[in-house]
Amino acid sequence: MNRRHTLFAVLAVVALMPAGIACADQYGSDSAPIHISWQMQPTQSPKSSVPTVKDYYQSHIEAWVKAHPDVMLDVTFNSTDINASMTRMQEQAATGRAPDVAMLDSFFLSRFYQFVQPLDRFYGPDQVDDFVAFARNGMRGPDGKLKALWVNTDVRVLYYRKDLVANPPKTWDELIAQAAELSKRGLTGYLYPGGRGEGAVMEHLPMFWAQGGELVDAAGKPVFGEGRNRAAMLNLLGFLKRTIDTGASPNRVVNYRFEADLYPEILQGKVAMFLGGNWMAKQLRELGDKSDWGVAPIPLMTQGDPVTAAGGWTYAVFTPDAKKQAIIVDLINSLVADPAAMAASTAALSNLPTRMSVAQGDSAYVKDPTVHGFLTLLRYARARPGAAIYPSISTELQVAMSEVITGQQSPEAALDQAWHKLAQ
Amino acid sequence: MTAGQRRPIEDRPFVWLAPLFLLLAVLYLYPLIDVTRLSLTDATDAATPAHYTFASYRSLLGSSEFLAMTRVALIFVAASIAGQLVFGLLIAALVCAGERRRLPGAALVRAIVLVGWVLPGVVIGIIWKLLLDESGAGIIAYAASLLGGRNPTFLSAPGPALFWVTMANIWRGTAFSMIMQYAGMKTVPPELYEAATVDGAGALQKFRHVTLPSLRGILLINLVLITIATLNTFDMVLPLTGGGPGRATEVVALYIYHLVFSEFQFGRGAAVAVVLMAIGLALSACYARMLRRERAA
Amino acid sequence: MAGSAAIYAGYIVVALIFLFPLLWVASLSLRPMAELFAFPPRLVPEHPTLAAYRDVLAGSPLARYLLNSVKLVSATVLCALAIAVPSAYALSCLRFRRPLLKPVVMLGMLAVQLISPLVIALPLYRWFSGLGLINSHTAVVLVYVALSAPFATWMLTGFLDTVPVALDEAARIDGCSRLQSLLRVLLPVMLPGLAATAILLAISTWGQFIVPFVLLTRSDLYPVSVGILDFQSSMDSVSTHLLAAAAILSALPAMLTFLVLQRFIVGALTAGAVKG
Repeated sequence: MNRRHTLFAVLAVVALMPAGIACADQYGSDSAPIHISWQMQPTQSPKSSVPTVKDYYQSHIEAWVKAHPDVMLDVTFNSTDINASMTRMQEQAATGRAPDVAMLDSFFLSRFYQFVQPLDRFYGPDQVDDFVAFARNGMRGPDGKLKALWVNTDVRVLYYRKDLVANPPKTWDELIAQAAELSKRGLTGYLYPGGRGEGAVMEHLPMFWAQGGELVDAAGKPVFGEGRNRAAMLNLLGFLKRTIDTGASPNRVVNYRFEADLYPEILQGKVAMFLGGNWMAKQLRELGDKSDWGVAPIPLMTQGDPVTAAGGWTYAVFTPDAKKQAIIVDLINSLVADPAAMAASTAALSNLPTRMSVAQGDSAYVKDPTVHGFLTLLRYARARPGAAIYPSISTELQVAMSEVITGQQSPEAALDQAWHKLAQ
Repeated sequence: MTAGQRRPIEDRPFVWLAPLFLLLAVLYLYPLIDVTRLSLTDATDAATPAHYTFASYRSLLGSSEFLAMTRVALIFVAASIAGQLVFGLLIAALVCAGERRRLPGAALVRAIVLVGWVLPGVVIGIIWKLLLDESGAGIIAYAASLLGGRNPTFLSAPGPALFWVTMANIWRGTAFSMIMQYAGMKTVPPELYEAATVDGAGALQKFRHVTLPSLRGILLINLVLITIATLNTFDMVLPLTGGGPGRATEVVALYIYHLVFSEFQFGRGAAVAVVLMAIGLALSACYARMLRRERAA
Repeated sequence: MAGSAAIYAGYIVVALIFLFPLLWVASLSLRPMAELFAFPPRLVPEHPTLAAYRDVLAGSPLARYLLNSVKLVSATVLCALAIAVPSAYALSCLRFRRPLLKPVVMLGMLAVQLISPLVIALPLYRWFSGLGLINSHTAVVLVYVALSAPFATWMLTGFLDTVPVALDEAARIDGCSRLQSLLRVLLPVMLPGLAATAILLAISTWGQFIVPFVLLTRSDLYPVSVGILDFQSSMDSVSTHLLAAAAILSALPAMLTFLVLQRFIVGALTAGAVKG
């Protein structure tokens, strides 16, 4: 009896595995003489769950590999925890075990300046000048050499339901007043990521910068806890506390670490306004959302010019082998970096290009009015500081924000805690 | 064999134990020694050289996070012990009572309860995270709203988050407690119960005066095992709260993990690990002594 | 009769508490995306579909993770038993020159079980990093074996203790060496104990998290316990149904094995509990 049962169990387990196990982690044949190891970000790769993205990368990579039969691409993927992935890669780089080419999140690039190979001989000054200013600055290391290619970016905005909000708020006070009112009617007035994730910090940095606050000084030392910066940060934390205290936002925002965590609640149809990234408009439609969303600049403490935060991903080369470098640059160009490739890839990702020639170009994507609106915001966009300490600052700010939202700490205590941690 | 002859090699226990000892020496003892050594340095990432110092231990005692984490661990362990022991007892008693009356289904109930033990801890964390969804679509949130709750707060505030993490841990660990209690109850001689009935004892009194004293040894052993398992918990909490909100559910193992892999504080992480190891060793010694006493009884 | 009714009521309550979370997740896994956030929530979806399972098995690395887990668990159980059997023989059947050594060794076996794997994972990570042994399944299996062989030895010693000494003596009188006696006479008698130990090892290794989490960074090498975390935060879309399906799939092997061999396992656990 027991033996038969065991056999049955084994068969059941085996039957759960399909005949062809999905594992497209290798492009090209094993016998190809040149092996290139490539660490990709899943959301910008053939493993993305968004069909347009998946198709774009799959088809382009396969076409490139066919045209280069002497190359085999050995692809691995970052995990969904960006901080952990980037930190691990940093360790690998420090011990000389980095992949040949890797996709690095733009806010972590500064930690790799000392490990990556300069790309100046592949991109002349006029090529680099085509990139938007904040991308140019981020791609160059402190020694002035080109360290990576920043191939796409995004901006953050306030989304509002046109049927619920007639005039989108421009200041914090207006936002809280409108949201609290809507919440009283049983809706969720204002939703945002307030948990322990990079998304939470990045969405709120514009509110901090608009007050003149700076996270680090020119030398890359943290200054966010001093003087005018401290006042600005306290205002921001106080605003977050007010969103909860007035009922404008529910305290479950502390569960939302990234913008994507907002999707389930948005899809339930009761959210009136939320803070999010430009890519969310198209994605919500693809997920079946039927609401009519308007886009407005992020509400600031006082009225003024819009400010927003720009992110995006970069490609960096670690291998010192010159031949491999040339091949990799060819791959990157044909996939995402050449003007045509950048136009096509950002359209697939519904992200924004970093080349001004593409942003001001003729493709249908950039001519779309919504996208055009996002592109004009690029003028007011800032990237996160390219200082190696930034990821640590972000982690402490995430803790501070979530503790203020849950009421565990007052804004002063939370900021002091974060500041003392980093000022050591 | 004459008295002067050496024992043949196959009679010497350490020859047979050699593979085990070798494996443990290389992959267990050496790391234990190394982690103790690391705790006495200020090691950070691999590239920076480390110096020997007590600073790691000293900074721990002064750090408010360490104190907060200790508080969380104490509450977590105490509540888990109470919950798992009590529920384990109740369910074991229930199953025993059912078996005594020859009611079918006892084995099924036992099997169902053991589900919590069989599932990997990570999966349990994910399951509970899905259950505790606070938006309208979450099933427990919905039940709470039916009972009148307006703003369901499970994982988004420090107190409730620790409560639910503990609940999930109890859900997971009751199975093992129950099995231990159940095994213990089955070995209680029925004559004791008969004598109690003759003395006019009701069910509750039989439980208090016959069952519980007989189980004393097993309960103590169980307590030690629960303490250790709960102190070492890592895989369930990570998907459930990740240590948050803030640091409200950052249990010991998570604290160590963040120190080492997020902040690159290898020396301080090692120091906490050594403390954890010392506790594990102390509790092992307790466990061994209790076992010996139990076996002798 | 009232007593029986109360007991049945108790059975139902207990069963519900322990089954409901699983049923809810199963329900989430069988829903089309449109029903994922239906309000009010219902246990049985209106239009159940296996689409999430298809997507997870065909379009995600979960199948690869499951295969990795099977690989790691099989290798570990085989190696751990290969080491534990002779060790248990020594502890059970051989005389120790210094009798106090035996309880010390048993205590050592116990301590390994009760110290968190994180304590050794940290220095192993540093050490293996330097040696280039990160992302090696072999290294992970060796660590698993180091963690589980002591427990296996403990359990097998207990089982061997119940085997009459006369069997071993008779075999050796007949001219067998100790090794032959172990392999030909004792092992077959120990089979139930071996099987129970193998099952317990398999279940605990399947759920091992800390060691692979620390020692493996390439996602194509992850066992399912680590890989499933990647389903939890999807950065670009809604994945609740996928996460639910992945959770059910990763729990299924352990649960199936358990259900089929249930009586065995409960027997092993109670035997272990009584023996300690």
